[in-house]
Amino acid sequence: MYELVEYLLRGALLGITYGLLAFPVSLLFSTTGSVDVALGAYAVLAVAVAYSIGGPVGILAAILATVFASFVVGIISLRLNRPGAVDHVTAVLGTFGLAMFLESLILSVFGTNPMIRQPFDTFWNIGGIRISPQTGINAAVCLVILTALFVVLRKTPFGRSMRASAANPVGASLNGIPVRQIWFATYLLGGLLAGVAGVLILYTTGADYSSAFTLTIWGFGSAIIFGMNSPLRGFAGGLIIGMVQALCSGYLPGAWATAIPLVVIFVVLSMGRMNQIVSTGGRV
Amino acid sequence: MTVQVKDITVRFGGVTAVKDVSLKLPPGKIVAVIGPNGSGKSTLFNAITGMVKPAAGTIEVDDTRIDAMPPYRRIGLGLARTFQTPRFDPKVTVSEAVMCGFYPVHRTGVFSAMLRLPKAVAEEGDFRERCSDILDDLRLSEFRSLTMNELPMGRVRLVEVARAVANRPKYILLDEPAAGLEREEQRMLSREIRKLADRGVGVLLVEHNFGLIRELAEHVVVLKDGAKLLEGEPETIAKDRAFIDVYLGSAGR
Amino acid sequence: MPAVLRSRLAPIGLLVVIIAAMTPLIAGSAFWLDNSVLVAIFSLLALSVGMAYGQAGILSMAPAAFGAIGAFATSIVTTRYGLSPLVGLALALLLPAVVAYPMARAITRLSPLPLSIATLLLSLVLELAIREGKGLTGGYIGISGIPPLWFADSVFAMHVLSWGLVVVVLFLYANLTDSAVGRAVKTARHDPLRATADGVNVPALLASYFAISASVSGLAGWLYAHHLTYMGPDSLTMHVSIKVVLMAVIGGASTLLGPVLGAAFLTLLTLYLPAAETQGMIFGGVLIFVLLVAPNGVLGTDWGKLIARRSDKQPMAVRPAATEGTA
Ligand SMILES: Nc1ncnc2c1ncn2[C@@H]1O[C@H](COP(=O)(O)OP(=O)(O)OP(=O)(O)O)[C@@H](O)[C@H]1O
Ligand SMILES: [Mg+2]
Repeated sequence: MYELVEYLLRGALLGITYGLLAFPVSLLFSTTGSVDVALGAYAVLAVAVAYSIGGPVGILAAILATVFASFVVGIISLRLNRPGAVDHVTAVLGTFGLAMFLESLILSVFGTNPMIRQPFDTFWNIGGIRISPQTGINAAVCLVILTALFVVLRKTPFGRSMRASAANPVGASLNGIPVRQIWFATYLLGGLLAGVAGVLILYTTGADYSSAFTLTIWGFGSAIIFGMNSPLRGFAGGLIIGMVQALCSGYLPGAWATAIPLVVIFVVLSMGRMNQIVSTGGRV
Repeated sequence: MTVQVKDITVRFGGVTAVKDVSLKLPPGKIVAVIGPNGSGKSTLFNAITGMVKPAAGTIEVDDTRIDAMPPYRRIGLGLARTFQTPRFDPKVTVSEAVMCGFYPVHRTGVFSAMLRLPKAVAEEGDFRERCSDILDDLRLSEFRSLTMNELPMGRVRLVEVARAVANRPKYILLDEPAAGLEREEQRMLSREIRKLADRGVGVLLVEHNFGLIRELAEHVVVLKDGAKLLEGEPETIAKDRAFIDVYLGSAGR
Repeated sequence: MPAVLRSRLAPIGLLVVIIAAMTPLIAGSAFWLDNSVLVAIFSLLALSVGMAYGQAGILSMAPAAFGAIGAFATSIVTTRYGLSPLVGLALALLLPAVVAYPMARAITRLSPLPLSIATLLLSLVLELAIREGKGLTGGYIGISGIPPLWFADSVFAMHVLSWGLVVVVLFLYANLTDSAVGRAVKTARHDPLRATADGVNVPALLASYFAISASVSGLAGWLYAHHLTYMGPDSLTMHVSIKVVLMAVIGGASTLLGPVLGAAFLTLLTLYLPAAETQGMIFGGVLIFVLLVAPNGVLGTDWGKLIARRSDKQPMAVRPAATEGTA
């Protein structure tokens, strides 16, 4: 029982970073209808840059690097999509290419070593469970971003335009909303958020060059578990995925611990949460 | 042996797009649905073909309840429809677009199609023949190898009709097929619709042009704000005060 | 004569002629024959992407994973159980489809986008399973000593066999594309609702099509295993998948010969590329470049039109149609 509580708690804390990765997934999907499978690669890029430069400069450089990477995807999407003529699948293909590019870049420049920094050597003791103060930082950062996102989406003209172009791109563009620019900005925002997530991952669990796609999957799984249309749900989804992972690695042998959470996400996918959004809307 | 729609209600969130509408479409008859913009005509079509889920009511085709069936099975039972805003792949040629309409009647499986067994060759040839007959009937033959985006909108609608006719439906639902057609083309289309009915096909027709309705339809259903306002023969409807008010406004008197 | 050229089988004839002309030139060199077999294998993988992505709009990030299923199936039955490679062939065709169909059926309702994510999941899970399934897959060590095919036991014979299989697959694929099913798949790709109104059960059809394309990958995996006589966890990975997707996209995923062209081009290019670590950068970079310049690929792009559009970029260019309308 005690063990179970410990796993759940650790999982939830781990899930905070997944929740952070889920924001860009749901944001992007509800605004542009597309998916950026390079998100995990951005995060790993941030990990690598922040790791090798170090300190606040490293963190800044890491986030700049990820924003630049998402800039590339933004350009691809601008090239391929315009309101009324969207080709999301091809855009996803572009992000797949970018993810591979980044993975190989990280491998060639930074090598295969796992990258992790743990600045704290004192631990909090919560009911006998040792927890790094870093998780407190993670939770605080996440909360700040969640609030900021909420304000931006609900209270600013940018957020309103964003929601309008999500609901009906053709109509929005007819009303003078610069839909394509908004899509572009959403990609950049996704890169920014993934960069922040990457920095937190560096100071929490660390990553290596090959983590990119798994991170994408965790972020994606977190985003769909409770439905894609709100960052808050994505955050809750992140906690759940984190807990599933912690439970699996606590109770299952080696490879199963990695495979079962993937299977869980597969099951969630097959429940059709994503299709619900795609299939509604649009008069015939 | 009819399409029977009983008390269909369709809601979109808070909007009730169709409210307790019933109608009957016997084979070989032409029934027109008329009503102002947003009165729920297209939504009624969508409900019959299964593209929206009605909140209440039943739909029967030849005494088979179809309201729980997925759309493709309803099409398989002999329904066919066109869309008010034609949906088509702009890069596809006219004859290919019509060939797509044969899907419900194709019988060759994937493997015999891959191997081009004689059966598949025969069926493909048969479809090509029927396709060119249909194109002839609708005077589309000369455009057969143009792509859809090279056609004017009126003709695109005709191709839609051709595509719906292709699977030899028992009942066909046409959503404003004559919009954007020139007078000559309209006349030709109305002859074709008549021919379809004479062959025993039930035609449900959404149309704004009352002249065309008067010429074709035996029975007219008038919708307003999703509800049935009245129904009857075109002549009686045309004289009805309520209809004139709703449809033509006071200027129509 | 022109009728023959316009036939749907004409590109296949062209390929046969090219291969026949090439064969005497490379027949003396084991190196080139070996590469020719690889090009044929990658052509099959790329054709599988062409079917799924080019025709049905399902972006599979797992062609190599389906290939690996086929390759491991035949490796296991031939080395561990001493069964005939033909049993392996049957399994290599069947198993990928058996995995692909339910997967697609569970996930493709209207949008194939979630299925792309699912193929990514499949790749990850499968790579994990291959590493961990020691008793079956040999784990990190892999399976070596896979018997060559007794009916094609020289490189030359493999060259003939594998290109023969490419031609057969192309023939089946061309026929399928030009049938009611092929047309329905194309419609469903463009507009699922339109296809539904044509009476198509869109999810079931796309899932079947996806399963067929997975079988083609499995066939490639079968050839791969018996050609290289070794299968390991690093043989058919996600990196191979991206390469294969790139092959299909470069050549033109929706065309018949595009994937073959892309496979030939990239396989030859790989011969001259530096270490494996940087290859991902090159492939990823080229993929992005191609998507930006010619998303339909070399054979799928109307180059005449593209160049014409580039050269008269003035926005108000007087188009003949417009003048006719006002006259
Ligand atoms: N998919 C949908 N989602 C939300 N509301 C819808 C949808 N489809 C139709 N409606 C609403 O339902 C009502 C009826 O629409 P419908 O398209 O059936 O009208 P119509 O009679 O066909 O009009 P028109 O003459 O313009 O074609 C309208 O208020 C419309 O806004
Ligand atoms: Mg309408």
